[in-house]
Amino acid sequence: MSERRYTEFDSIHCGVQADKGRFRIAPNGIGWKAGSGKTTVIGADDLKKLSWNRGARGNQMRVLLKDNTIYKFDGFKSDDFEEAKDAIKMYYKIQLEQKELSVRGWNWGKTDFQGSNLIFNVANKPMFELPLGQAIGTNKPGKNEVAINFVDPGQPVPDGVNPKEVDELMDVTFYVPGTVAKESENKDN
Amino acid sequence: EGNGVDDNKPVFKKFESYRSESKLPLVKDQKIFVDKRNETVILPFYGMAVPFHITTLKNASKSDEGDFVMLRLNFITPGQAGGKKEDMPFHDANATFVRALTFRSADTHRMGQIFRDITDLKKEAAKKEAQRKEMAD
Repeated sequence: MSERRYTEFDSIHCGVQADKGRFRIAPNGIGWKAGSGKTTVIGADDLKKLSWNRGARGNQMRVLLKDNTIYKFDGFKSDDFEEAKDAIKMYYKIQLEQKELSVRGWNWGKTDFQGSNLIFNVANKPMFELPLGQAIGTNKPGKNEVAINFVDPGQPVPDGVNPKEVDELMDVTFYVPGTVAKESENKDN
Repeated sequence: EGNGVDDNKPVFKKFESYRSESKLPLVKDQKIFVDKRNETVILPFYGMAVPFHITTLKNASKSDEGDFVMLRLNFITPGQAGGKKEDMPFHDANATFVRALTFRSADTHRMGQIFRDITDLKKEAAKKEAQRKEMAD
């Protein structure tokens, strides 16, 4: 019997890594394998929530695990959504949610936390997401200011990233008017 | 401090980069993209393409650091000593604001062009705003 036991997509990126790979949705879990041999494997039992949104490289699949780890795969075509949705529903009984992002271009909103990710919402839609687990430091440069540092000036780029091909986010400074609780929360991270 | 509210303050003029997600240009790479037509700078945040309208930008600066060029974008937020004649009105002064972002790239040529495009876009937007105010008077 030649019934296909998985659904596969080509030229998919995993996180910020530059190399493209094959992305597979199979009964035992999700897998990504790059031409370089790099792999990412997520067991079906670890999956909690899967969503679909616009990404820097086409469409992005956001995979939230039960331990709140978040993986992101991007480079999907819009047409891939239905196929991915069907496979995810069939194998994991999870609904792939299509999530609309805020494209208003505003710089004010509300911060929310999911696991170690900070989500910046504008009018109840996520505008961006920051993996605080990858932050290398935080500080308070001024009154009501919180800065999160992801990359130091002298730091080399991550493996597999061409420094000419990617503009890297180094730090983000928020202005948080009069909310002391939120500031100390960020500082503790 | 700095954001004292009085009845004569100018009202917040609504702006929007894109009406809906489908209008956001498809940015193929994790690179900064200046969308002049929509007066928006699209920035790469860990795989996301994040638009900021030029109205939110205060200024941009560029500095060299070894093989990299660093681009710092400062945004308009409450509590800034801007020295402006009138305080910029805020839609929600109690919100959390993105005040500054720094990016780096080893593509010095492209980063130089992006810096020029952003500052030009800001200048044009400021000129348009000044003209609009003049017309309104």
